[in-house]
Amino acid sequence: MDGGGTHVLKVTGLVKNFGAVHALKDASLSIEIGEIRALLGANGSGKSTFVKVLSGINKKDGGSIQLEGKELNITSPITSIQNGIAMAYQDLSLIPRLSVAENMVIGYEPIKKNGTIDRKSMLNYAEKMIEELGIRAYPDVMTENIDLSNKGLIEIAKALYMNPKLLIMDEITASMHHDQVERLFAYLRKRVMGGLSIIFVSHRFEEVYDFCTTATILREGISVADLKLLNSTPDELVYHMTGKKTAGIQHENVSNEVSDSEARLLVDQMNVLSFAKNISIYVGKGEVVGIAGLQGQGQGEFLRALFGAISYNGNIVLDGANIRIKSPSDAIRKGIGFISGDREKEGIFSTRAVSENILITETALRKLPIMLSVRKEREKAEQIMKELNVVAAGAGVPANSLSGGNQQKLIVGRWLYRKPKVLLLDDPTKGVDVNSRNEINSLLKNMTKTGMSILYSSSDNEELLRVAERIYVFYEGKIIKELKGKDKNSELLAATMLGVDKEAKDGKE
Amino acid sequence: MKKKIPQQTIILVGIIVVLLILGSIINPQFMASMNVANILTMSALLGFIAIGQTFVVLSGDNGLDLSVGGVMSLGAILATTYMSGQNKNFLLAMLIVLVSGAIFGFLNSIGIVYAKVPAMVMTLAMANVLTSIQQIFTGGYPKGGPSPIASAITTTRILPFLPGIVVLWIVMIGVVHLILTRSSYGKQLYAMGANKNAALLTGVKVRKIKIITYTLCGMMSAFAGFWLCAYNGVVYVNAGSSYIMPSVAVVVIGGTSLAGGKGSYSGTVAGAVILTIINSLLVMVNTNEAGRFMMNGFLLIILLAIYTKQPKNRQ
Amino acid sequence: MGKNSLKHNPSWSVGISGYVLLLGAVLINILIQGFGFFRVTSFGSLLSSNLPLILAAYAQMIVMLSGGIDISIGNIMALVNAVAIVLANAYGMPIGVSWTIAVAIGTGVGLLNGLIIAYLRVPPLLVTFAMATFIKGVALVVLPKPGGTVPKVIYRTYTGTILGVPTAIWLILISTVILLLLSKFKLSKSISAIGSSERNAFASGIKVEKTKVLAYTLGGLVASFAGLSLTALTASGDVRIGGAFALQSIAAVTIGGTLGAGKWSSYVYGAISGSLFLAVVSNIVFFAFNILATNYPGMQISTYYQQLLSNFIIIFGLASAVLMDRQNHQKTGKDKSKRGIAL
Repeated sequence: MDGGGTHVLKVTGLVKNFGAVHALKDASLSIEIGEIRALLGANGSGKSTFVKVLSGINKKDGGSIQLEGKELNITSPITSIQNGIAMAYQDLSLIPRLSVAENMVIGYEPIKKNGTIDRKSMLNYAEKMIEELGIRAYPDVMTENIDLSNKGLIEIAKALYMNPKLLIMDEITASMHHDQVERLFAYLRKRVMGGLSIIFVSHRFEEVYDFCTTATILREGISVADLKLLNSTPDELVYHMTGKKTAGIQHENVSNEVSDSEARLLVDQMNVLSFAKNISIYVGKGEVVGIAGLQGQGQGEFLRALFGAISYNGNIVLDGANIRIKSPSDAIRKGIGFISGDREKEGIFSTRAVSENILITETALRKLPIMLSVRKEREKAEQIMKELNVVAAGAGVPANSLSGGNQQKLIVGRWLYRKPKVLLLDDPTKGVDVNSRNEINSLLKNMTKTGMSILYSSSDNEELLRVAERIYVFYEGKIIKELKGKDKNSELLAATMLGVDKEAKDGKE
Repeated sequence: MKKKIPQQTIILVGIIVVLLILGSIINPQFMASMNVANILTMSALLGFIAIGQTFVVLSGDNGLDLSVGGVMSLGAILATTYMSGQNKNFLLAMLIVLVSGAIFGFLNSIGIVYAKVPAMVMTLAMANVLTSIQQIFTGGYPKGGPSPIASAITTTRILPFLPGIVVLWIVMIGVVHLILTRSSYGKQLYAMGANKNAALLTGVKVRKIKIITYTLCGMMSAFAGFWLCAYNGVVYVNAGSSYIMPSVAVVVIGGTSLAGGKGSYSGTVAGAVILTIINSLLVMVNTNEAGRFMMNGFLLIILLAIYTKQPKNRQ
Repeated sequence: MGKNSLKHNPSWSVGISGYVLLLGAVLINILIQGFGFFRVTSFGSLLSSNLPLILAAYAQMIVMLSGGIDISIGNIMALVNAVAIVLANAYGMPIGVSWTIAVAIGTGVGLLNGLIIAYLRVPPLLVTFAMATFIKGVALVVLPKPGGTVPKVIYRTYTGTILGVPTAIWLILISTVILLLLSKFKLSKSISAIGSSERNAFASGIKVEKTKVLAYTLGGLVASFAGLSLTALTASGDVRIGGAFALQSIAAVTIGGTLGAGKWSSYVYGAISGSLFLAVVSNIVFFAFNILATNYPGMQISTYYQQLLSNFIIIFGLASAVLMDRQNHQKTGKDKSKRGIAL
């Protein structure tokens, strides 16, 4: 669009912090009426936070949001919706208990003169959208029974109900099939011609180029580029997103290959519910193998299945023996450990003492009831704290008085003590400060010297390239590439992760 | 490791002091040994039953045991029946009481852990069953009475204001403290309550701990019933029903979070004393039953509003 | 390729546990009592003595649908009972006026519950538990000792018939229709939404706090009517009768099947089938023991066994309702949580 058009949305210098985490530092974006803008960014870029501030889920800490020239103070979704900003959420905002039609109008149901819901009007809208978007469901079916791709379409129909000025689509096409997406885009283009503006968040470049005219790129909470897609190649997009040039592959050091026969851990054709399919990997003794990919491509579920927290089918061979992992306790007993990057939900006992956090796995393995010696526990804990260089007032202070990085060190310390055969890591240094990060990583490296194998999933490519000898890349539930030797470089990794490399290959054929 | 007295407990102790002063102003006899002894005894009974409740609430996952009154009542009835006023039956009766409590606690845990019935619903239903069992067992007229030993322990005063039962309570407080802070069970209990997911992922045997917790709660409730019988001498069906809500209240007031994983029994102890003193003050001021209900309910709401704010359930 | 396979899901099929259990119970009842079960007087008295429970279950249903619980329902009933009796007897107010004031007070209690839960964010279980105690005291102040009377015409009509059909049936019909009609209003959708997923309801622009307040107020209103029916039934005032209704109403709703998803109407049917299940169970136990007593005069079984058996059956009902609903979910794949920890 050439300049001079009226801005329907003007966001300037948006700031949002979650405690010590600066999700958005300076994000700006302006779009005009009838524009379809892509919002791009890698893991942790802040794009999800950005749209959630616009939709009212999160309150901004700084910056300004103007809609059609009017300054908005968005305090809740009600403000956004009433002002004409509608969002189709990545996690979906549908109410499982209500029907398809009811979900489309929820919160703003059409009312008859006598005060009751105008069912006819509601059904009319539902049937119209079912027709236009090709939703495979009857209007009166309960939403919880419907498959994910159709739920996504219903979510969009719901967002469009109030005839918004701005529609935000947050990775909503992720679960949809190609033909559904095509049909959706065709319909939305009609609406756009009628004056609707769209912000399209997606990691699928194919769709971005197909649907959008312009793109804004976020990197680490800052909007770094506004581009016209006609004039930009995928490589340029990747460059802005990651700061890395894809062109010109450099040669990296060749690492020693580990043959299958020396493998400590062998996974063969594992399926994890609907999250991951046909996963086959191997990890050698003392080897650090990386797992890369955008968020939610199945790698997290895969690791949890290996740890016995999610059910799976497939074969696992550990140190030559075929095993079946039934539960985390079982996994621990068999010599597998697990560290999650989501320490708040899955790792740390924040109100409990440092020593308890470190020693919990030991404690849990003991036969009840055992009285623990306070002194011995404290000594054990302090020894580990020293090895890890944990900064804390003592072994007895609650874990939540430590910084994030130190808390994560405690969790690493838990397994340091336990010495498992295989340690599974799901983004263990997420949200951890640089120094602690380095300390943790060198610690992990040390642990491999005694033969411990590590399977390391990370959203930070730099880190992966530094610590891992080989990297498996997950994309939409499958492993699309194993990067080793010369291939293990940042440019190829970035591209593979975004599916660009694959798409480029597909495009050529 | 230096034990830090939680700030909350200090506040609670402060409240106790204020209440005691208030009491003395209203009635100079309030601080007399006899009265203090009574107050401490009533606190002890409440304290016993709150042991189990503390454990259950600590276990997290919306843990709650509303059958504690019923188990306590049954315990009291079994105690009075099997002691029959004879010293030789003392130990046997105690054994029967403890086992019965454990059985019902265990049944609760089965429903909660395996059938996944919410704790509140399961224990509420169990409370009903217990009423019927009491009625059947006694035919409506409990017979017997406490052994002289039991009564003696309850009422004999080691110090002018310290009856034997309170000494027993102090011992129990020590035992509970040890269990909660030093045993592997206690550590796992707190871990579970603090972060259920993390507990599962670190090998904590969540199911097993839950079963043990509810079973222990049943046992302690029955234990409380035993001493209720010893103290009162006369027992009737559902004698313990007025202890249910207070048992939850004192746990909450004592600083244990309803979400689990945070709190201590020492807080509960302070809470038990506070609630008993308040009740005692109300009786002294000649409030009738109705007034006491209103006061209890009102105070509880205030305390809950202060202590149990849940975070806004937003993304 | 056809539309989504689960097509028209009849609203009453969820909560199927309630119907199964109810059907079983009714069959057993008929077996034991014989066809006397269907005689107007006995059938009618079964319903009129259980109307309070049915209404209490409706009140609890509304609150549970919003994602909460109300332990004070029984005590609201007792309070309404007390106020209605006292205003009419001691103050000589006309029945219409005194009963209306009683309902207003009961509804006010619900409002209070809702405000504390929504704005002070205290867990519903504890607030309503505390409120129950508070209300128990208030009721005792209003009516310290059981007593008072209700005009004969009310009592007679309530336990009698209108146009040959037991009055209770008319009342059940009317109340059920009213509750079903609620589903035509936006409020019922909002209540369902916050109970189904508060996060998503918030994201969808629903006023969550306001809806919660309204849910508990509505619950208080319906519970007040339960209190009035109790007054008509007992024809006097006694605040102690309110006690068991909290548990019973929760059991009725659970047995009817709330844990699942379903339309508003299926919850209404579930609540009433759950209540009737409980009613029929007591009936069964009563008649079963009657038979035993008449045929084996030697056996002296106290009424306490009846209650125990009733209670066991209730627990059985609860457990099977929970299990059945869980199975229902796993089949439709609802239980697939994203990071499902399998324990």
